[in-house]
Amino acid sequence: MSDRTTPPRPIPIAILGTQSAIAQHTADLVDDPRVVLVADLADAAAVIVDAPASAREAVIGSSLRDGKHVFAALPIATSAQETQELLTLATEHQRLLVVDQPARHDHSYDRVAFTVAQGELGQIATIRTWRTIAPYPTTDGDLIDTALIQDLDALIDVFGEVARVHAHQAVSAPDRPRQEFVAASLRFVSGAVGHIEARLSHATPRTAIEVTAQHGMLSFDSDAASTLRIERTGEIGRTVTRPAVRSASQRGLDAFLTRLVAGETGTDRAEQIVHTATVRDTIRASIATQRPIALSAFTPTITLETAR
Amino acid sequence: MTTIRLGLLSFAHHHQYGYANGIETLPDVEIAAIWDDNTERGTAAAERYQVPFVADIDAFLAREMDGVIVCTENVRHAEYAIKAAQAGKHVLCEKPIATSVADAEAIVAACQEAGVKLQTAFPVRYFPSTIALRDAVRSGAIGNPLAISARNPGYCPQSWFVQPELSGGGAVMDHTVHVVDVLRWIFDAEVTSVSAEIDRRIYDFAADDTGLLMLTLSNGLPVSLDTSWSRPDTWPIWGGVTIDIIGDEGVASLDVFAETVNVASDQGKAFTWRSVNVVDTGNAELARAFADAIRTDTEALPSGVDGLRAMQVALAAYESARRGEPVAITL
Repeated sequence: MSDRTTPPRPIPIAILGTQSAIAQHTADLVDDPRVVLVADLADAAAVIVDAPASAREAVIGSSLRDGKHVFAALPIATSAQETQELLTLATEHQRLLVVDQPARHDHSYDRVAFTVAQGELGQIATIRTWRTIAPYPTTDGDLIDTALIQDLDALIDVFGEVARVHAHQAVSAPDRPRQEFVAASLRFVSGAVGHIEARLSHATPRTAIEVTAQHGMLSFDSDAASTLRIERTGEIGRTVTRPAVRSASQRGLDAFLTRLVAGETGTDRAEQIVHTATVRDTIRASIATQRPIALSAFTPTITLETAR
Repeated sequence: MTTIRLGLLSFAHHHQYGYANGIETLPDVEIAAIWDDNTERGTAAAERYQVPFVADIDAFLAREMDGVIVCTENVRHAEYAIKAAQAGKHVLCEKPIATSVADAEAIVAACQEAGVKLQTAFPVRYFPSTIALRDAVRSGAIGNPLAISARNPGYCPQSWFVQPELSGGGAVMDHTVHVVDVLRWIFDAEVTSVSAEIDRRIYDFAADDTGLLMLTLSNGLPVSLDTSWSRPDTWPIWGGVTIDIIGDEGVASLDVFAETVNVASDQGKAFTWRSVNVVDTGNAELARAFADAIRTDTEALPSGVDGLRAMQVALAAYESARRGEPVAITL
């Protein structure tokens, strides 16, 4: 009698999205013994959805209804209500729905979250994040869904719920409409003040964060982290790249596969994902109305009565 | 060239040391005398700069000098700037020019009535990098400007700065005006709307230490501005001013005080940054501009009205934070 166990059969998985997304995920998964890539959706037990943000909700919904497990990037829908409906759908169909947010698998965010959680900095005063996408994205979706929401979710993860939002945007000329810049002030329920911004114009896909607090501050800027900088004689501008390492996206996908193989179903972080979507919707509303919008109450430390 | 003689009216605001240091680098400007209501501080400064200390304000203003640099506590700017104007002295007033619109307008009116020049101390305008930013934006280097992301964080200066009855506020009053002045100057535009999150999150005093302002300029550009006293005491430099202007063809990024030398030593701090005197450069150019305006009888810039407009934005920020809604600024 052999004591060797039979290796589990690879789980058939399909990739739904743009050509570039399919190529990227195929490269990530082709050598993974836990899965086998299939071209026919009917043969798949799970799907990786990397469609443009505006199309994600429909693809995720139909996949869950077809009994597929789903891995999809944030945002999964264009409104908080639709986000909630998808999460409920996954639970009802007993499917695994993992909403990926690469920053959660980013080592720098890990360190930020750890430092804040340890209380090393004391009461948080300000939080600021910058994110840029370079070169210009070819996928659809605006800057909020393409970039800003990633940092927003990461901040909510670390600093808690948002109580008030005021946002503004900049779009390029009407003949070439494109959301070039989005920024929002965030007042967290804890009282901390945040500033979150995303923009297109930058030499690198940059992630940066700064946290200031009662007992000090911390900052991280990917522009200064593990980069290869090339400056070419006679040319304007520069190219900064990062040496190939296992990316946060790859680590996120790996986490999904681990849960998939373990037979897990349902969702996690559902409450936070809906809150992130709600804040995202509120940012849009604030841009439209040009006013701050409150989501919940918060307690300021100061009354400002003494200010003139 | 005529030497311009300036009196230094109080060292309550530490920027006066910067202006004095800057003046010492100018061949045709000199410090005439020093007055301070704090005799110990005033005499120490007089000794440091090798000039007379005059304890009586009227005697000080009666001395032969062309103008004064007012660096009292913020709430006293009006009292002393007006007194100097009435004594026939040109006035360079530390920012914020005052702590209320009424006081600022009184300073402007007093200087007009006395026929003396009034300049507001916004040295950031005079840094070569700031001038280069203005030139770049105005020449179309980034295409059409679309939005601005700016910061002016710094150490908490403590002392009277954290006593609103003397400073008129806190970090927002202290750090709103520099960036606002630069943006008004670059774009020939006014701030028309202010929305602010203001709080005290770091220190235990009456004033605010945390500020984030969302502004709209009259040309439609949205601006975000962090004014917080959020740099810890152990931070290697006092703080800084950064302005990113996002255009439809690129971004111009200004970091005014980034000119530093990195020092690694086995003595004291393991690593420090040291400014390459850029602060004094801006202060010297500000003082030079004041002296030149006196010498050539031209307008002193940034003007008193520039100071008033920038201060109005800080006041509107406090009002916005109290009301929880945007505050419109009508001129």
